[in-house]
Amino acid sequence: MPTAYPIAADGTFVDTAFLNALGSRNLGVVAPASGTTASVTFTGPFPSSYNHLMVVWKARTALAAATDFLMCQVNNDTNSVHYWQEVHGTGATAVSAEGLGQNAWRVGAITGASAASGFDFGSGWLLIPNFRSTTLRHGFVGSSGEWSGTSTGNGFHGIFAGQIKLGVAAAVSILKFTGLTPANFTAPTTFTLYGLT
Amino acid sequence: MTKNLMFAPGEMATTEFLNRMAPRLIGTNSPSGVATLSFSSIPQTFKHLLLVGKGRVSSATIGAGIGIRFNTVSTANYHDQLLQGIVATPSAQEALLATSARIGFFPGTSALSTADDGWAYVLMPNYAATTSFPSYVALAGEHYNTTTGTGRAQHLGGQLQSATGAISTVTLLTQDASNFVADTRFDLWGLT
Repeated sequence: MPTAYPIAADGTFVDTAFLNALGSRNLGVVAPASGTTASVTFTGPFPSSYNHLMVVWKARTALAAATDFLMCQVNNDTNSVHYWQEVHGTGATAVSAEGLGQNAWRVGAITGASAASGFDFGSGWLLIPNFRSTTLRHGFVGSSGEWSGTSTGNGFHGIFAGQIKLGVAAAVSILKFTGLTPANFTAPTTFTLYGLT
Repeated sequence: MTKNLMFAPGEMATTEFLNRMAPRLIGTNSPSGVATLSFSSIPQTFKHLLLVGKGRVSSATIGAGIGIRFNTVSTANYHDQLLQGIVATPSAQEALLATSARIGFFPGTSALSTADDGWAYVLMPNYAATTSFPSYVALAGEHYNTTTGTGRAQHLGGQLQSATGAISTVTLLTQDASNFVADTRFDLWGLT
């Protein structure tokens, strides 16, 4: 008996390309065990059937501090090409900050080993639109926050954005996440990468 | 004889492949005349939760904050941090040990039009973790009139401070105990 393949009403094969075009897809999950690594890396090339990348994460490091920042380096570029801007609220204060010519983007706020509770983690997401472009410099937008304690001013929640300046535009093929001062991630830190059509 | 579902010739349709198609709708709630609604028995098989809401409230005011609770915890154990812009003024607020955490602001009956509403986009990363506090980040906004100072853009984030554990129930409520009105809608998705 011939093999039957699902088809749409107009006779189009329901294939993986068709399903991939329906929306987004999980491209990978990394959930390191405590004390095993200070970096999480997604290595491509990422499928060309997607146009945008999104990362959703929840993280904490072993840094000897209450708070830490989540950094993202693109394409293993250690040169001073990452530029970022963030605005956040902490207590009753709106604060903004920028980073010029750094070796990674600041993409979020997370907790460190000295947070009030071992259960305090930072969480957030970031989006890299049109990651396959080789003519436009890549950028990201995201939001994130953490609570490192139960007192006033212990919250940090805001919006982050940035761009790769200088250098030749190339498709995003590597995303490497670390703390600002790299320290091992603490479980249940989890990073999930999605491709969006 | 085993029959395998295949796509085009040579491509196996595996559950692993299908499960990675994200997001997947978990449920929809269209509250009207009630002050709370819940998504319960949330499957623990996803990686993250995404909630999108849009609506109005019955407050005889410009509106009310919309709160979120996890796992039916209604005690004063929620923190939230707000960052917002209104006209040319950025501002921030925090709430400590409240009975719910804010995810946005929906207009009330003092809005210019009954068609004015608010909206919120809430992400709950790694919601099934059992050794971290349930937490979220959100983007929200509303515009209740056409005059200056009547719109707001917000970033919010918060967590339940008293209990770890996977999120199995999400409750949305009006923080002034008014009711949601018709055409209000919340959708919850799981991201695989």
